Amino acid sequence: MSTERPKDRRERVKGEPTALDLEGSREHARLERRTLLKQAVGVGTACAAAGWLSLAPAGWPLSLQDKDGERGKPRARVRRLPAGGFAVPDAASVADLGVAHGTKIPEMMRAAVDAIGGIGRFISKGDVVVIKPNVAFERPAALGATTNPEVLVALIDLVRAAGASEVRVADNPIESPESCFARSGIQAAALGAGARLYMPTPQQFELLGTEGATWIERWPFFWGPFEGANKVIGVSPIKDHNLCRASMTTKNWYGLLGGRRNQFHQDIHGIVADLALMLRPTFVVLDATRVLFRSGPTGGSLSDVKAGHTLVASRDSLAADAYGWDQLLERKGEELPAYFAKAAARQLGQPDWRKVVLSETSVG
Amino acid sequence: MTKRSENKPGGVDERIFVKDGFRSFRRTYRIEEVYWGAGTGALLLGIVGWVTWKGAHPDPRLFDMSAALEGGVSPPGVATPVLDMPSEPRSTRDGRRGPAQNGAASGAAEGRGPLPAALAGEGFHEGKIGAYDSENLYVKINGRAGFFQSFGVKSLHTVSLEGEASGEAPFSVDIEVYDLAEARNAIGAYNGERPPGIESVASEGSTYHFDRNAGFLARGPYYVRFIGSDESAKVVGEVRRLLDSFRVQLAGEAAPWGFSLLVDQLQLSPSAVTYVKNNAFSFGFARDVYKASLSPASSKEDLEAFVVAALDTEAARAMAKQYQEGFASLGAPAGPTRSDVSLFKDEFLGTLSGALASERWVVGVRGAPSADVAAEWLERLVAGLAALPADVRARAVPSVDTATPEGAGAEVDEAAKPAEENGHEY
Repeated sequence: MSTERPKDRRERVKGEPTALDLEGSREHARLERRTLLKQAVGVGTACAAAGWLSLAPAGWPLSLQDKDGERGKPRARVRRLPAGGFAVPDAASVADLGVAHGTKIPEMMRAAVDAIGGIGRFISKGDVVVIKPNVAFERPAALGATTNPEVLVALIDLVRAAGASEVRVADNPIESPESCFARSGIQAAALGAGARLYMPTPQQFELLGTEGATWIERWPFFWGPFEGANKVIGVSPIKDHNLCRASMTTKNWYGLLGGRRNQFHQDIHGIVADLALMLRPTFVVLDATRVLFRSGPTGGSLSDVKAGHTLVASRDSLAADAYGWDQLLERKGEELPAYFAKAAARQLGQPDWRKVVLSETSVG
Repeated sequence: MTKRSENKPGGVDERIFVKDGFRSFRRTYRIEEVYWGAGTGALLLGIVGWVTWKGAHPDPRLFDMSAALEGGVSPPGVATPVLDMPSEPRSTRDGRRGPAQNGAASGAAEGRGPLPAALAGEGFHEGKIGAYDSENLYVKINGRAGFFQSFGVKSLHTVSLEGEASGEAPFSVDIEVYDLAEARNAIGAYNGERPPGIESVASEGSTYHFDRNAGFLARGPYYVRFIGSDESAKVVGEVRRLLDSFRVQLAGEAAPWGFSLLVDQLQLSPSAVTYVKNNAFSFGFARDVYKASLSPASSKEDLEAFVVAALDTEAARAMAKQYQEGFASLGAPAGPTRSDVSLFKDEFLGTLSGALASERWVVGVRGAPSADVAAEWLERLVAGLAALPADVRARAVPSVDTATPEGAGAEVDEAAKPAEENGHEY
């Protein structure tokens, strides 16, 4: 290796090459060819590899194709609710369906829950409990489109008395949540009874995986209130519904979905059956203190609402809803909405309430 | 390429391919070269560090679930995904109000749509105004939106009149004005929501009724609901005042031609007449139908007369044939009427139905207890059409709206399919 300047070297090499020089030159040419071939193979291999990485279709091994940038995004984690849901073990000695009639809501709530085993069966000291009312519309409670705040208070009181460390009230109305929670009276009721109120924010939604669901196998879910919760109770009004004919405890879980959920209305019975699969609650309460028997689910006229004076508690949403359909909406004899059969086909409940053990009481 | 060299065996030096790896041709470098090299190395290290750090700390917007909240507030720099309307109808997720939600802002005429100005009566003040179109109507009335979409809803404007309560329970009146494009749609929607047994009043281009805490009005292309929060005197008084006010202030138009025929010409009660946009009598082809219930509410009979406009006489004949085939599919031929119109007997109900073309209209009866009753009503309908004033006959044309019926038979939206089917990850 020389450090001389090229000009100096050119001046020095002016004579004819010797035989030794020629031999050395030939030897060097042979070595250069070999090296060139080796390096060409190396460069070619590197180019082929780079070409594969960049041009191979996205599904092929080692492909880096990412035309829409989606592969480069971090993967959103998929949440899952506990296997078996939030249900408590069966107890053969109690009723499946607790029905309480009367006018004193706290007593009715206690009687309905007592009929299915008492609150102690469902809530233990230290539990974190999510309560899901229906706050879907910006309507006063008297119009029957939302859960009766007095019923919610009675339920919260019962759960807190059983030792729950935290009670969370949550719903995701499509309309302004602030207005819906305020106008329906649910906000004041929940906070007044000592519960925490969860209003939907984007950060509280995560993808939920529901194995076997038709529409919501992976769908945005109002996860925030469920973080760390170990019991879930639904409390929904009983309403006529323009599309699925009746909105009760099973349809109530619709309010936990995010995304463009209104599109599910095109297969309303399919999505309600999916909801039964998605969330298996600790128990549900069907609030029939008021019954919106027509013009649902929004209502508007007090003529569309009648006093029901009834609360129904059950671990079986389908049985509670079937009872509501027959006895409270007074549609006995009419064929049940199709979502009952779809959910029952998945072994998610008993759509014939006469086949479950019923305990009916009148209080107050 | 080679050059001779005195420093290598054979005098040949290698200038291009360096065999001995990382050794340089030079033993020394200038100090500025060292600086450049060090700077370049530092830059490359910096890039590697930045990429590594960004990978470990992705932009939160990549995880954004705003779309999960249908119109929720997106992070800065990201377009709001759903709501696209003249005035923001809802509070934002972080509690801020939309631009037209508070009293001061609600006076802006451009966001009011058909809502008259200065609505609030004594003891009330205007609250938020909302504006929705057919696409986002569900935001306001999820579950009920399909009903209005089936009547071709163009927009919904809402305003809440909030009572100025002092130490008493809050009270309010919510106003919802649906623009349904045509008077026939407004009447159809109005009648679709009117409970059985409630009588309508038809007066000066308005059809309306009051029901406990609420008032309902169809006027021109608008269907309006006034929903009081309770039955207190102040709320009911405000609802009644608003009902009267809208009957004057809201733009009206001539009654739909079918109402002119059935109510004005044949003297039927406005409460008995309605408009069915799609799927009349559960026939998929039966659209744009005016029909009148002719049996008393207390009766077990369900006699109906109906009339439909066609484009011309040939279209009317084809349509009449469709109705006849539809009725035939529910039963069996029952012979002709005295005016030689074929009737069909319902297999289960035992009632008679039939239809015929009259000029460029189709008239028919359904649920008639006898051939004579069917014939009588068919004749009355034909005579009524012939006696219509010229301007009404000119208006008696098919609806311009040919919306596909919602519900049965409607295609499921691609976006509603599961992620695996529509190819979207989420």
